Amino acid sequence: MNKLLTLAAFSLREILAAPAYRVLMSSTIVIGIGAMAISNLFLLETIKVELDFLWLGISLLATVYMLVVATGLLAQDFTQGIAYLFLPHMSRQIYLLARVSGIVAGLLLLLALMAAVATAIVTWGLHHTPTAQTHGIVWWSPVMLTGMALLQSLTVLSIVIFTCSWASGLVEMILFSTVFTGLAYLLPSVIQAMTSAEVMTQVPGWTAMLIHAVDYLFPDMTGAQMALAVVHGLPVPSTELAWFVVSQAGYIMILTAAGFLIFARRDL
Amino acid sequence: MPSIHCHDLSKSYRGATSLQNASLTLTPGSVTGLLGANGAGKSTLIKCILGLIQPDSGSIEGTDGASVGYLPELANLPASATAWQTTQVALKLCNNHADYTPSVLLDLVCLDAKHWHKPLRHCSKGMRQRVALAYAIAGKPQWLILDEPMSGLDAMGRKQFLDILLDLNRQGTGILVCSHIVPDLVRLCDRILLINHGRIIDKVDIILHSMDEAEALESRLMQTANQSYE
Repeated sequence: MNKLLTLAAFSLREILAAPAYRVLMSSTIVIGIGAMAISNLFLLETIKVELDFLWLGISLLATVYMLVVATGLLAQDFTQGIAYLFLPHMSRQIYLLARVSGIVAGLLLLLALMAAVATAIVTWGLHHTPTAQTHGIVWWSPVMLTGMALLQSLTVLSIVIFTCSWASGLVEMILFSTVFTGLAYLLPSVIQAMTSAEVMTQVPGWTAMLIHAVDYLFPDMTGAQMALAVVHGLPVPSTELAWFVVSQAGYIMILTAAGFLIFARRDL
Repeated sequence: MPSIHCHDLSKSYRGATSLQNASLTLTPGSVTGLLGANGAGKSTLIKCILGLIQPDSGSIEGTDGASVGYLPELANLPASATAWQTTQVALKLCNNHADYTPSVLLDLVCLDAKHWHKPLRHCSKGMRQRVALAYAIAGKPQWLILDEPMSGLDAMGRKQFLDILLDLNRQGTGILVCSHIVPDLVRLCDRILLINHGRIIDKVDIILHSMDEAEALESRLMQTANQSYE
């Protein structure tokens, strides 16, 4: 436990000192200013536009953190021999868990800052918006969006862990993680269209099975749909939210466990 | 402290044999050298002993529960961390606050105090090598495994490194070291294993640690290299 905490704290310190992380931290302010500037271009529903822009910013920020900072840290460990320093002192599982804990701590700090900036902007925006135009948006809507982004980025982290557990080079790790994540964002809407009742009756059985298999292979990133509801001040159905959380958590656990198992056996 | 026994270790990468039925015994307190050309299988053997690589066949005994310090060939350290922070984390991971402090460790590896709080990305290769050695010895390990520890060091640095290693050995640390630099190996080791194409082809006991022994070993190495080219 002591070793885990020591390495996790060391990992967090490394992340905080990384130039890419500092750029992302500064980006929270840029995203906030951008949201205010963009919403000022609109005459009506400025608060919706503001929140829309903030959601885009939070999602991008969290995803870039995972693909650049987290993948960079793990890839550097495995390909440049930094892992060799730590592995004589602990098991591979503890080592990876400690590194991942440091990465998650860095993510939490980043998202906490982003949530604080977004909440301040939305609160200020609500203060200057007539109640009739707030559309049910409340000051804590950005916090909810940040929570969704957190879940999504943990999914991306599980993709990163899985990819880094078997890929062998820095480029390979970053490329595969990015492609997998990109597909996870893009494929659901395509698959949704392909699995409509009309299409399913037209295609052969094996094609339908293949489409469903692909659907199960990729995580459910449709949190964006719920985020849309939050942005538009609509109530988020609790069953839908619960299913989203459970399915994401399940996916994260399975992919992370697979990553840990593969990493325990790989040559370094 | 038990000996480390390796029996018939073999390892191939995509059909290319890197290690072939390699067997060796490391006795406590001994200094064993691995000598061979590039790609002979020295690093693979070391990584097998450390458990970083899973051999295709063969077995290793005596490493369970043994404390091992490792200095890899590419001693990459987290670039943003300082020498002080790196040794501090090593001491915490080894839970060894009784024997060393970061300053004692960094003094031991002859790193000038003015470099202790510089990010490692601003340090030279030689300085980083010293920090990596400090990291490896932080836990006062029973075994120290070093992969090309002297590469990239100037003459003074090599001498200091050798003195540090000899001193550690006098305190009872067993050492396994691989290097291309024959005189350094002869000065340091009790026994040198010649490795070629993944096979341990000869074992040479070093008695006098003299230049004559180094020259004889060098010609033996050249002879082996020529035979493999033919």
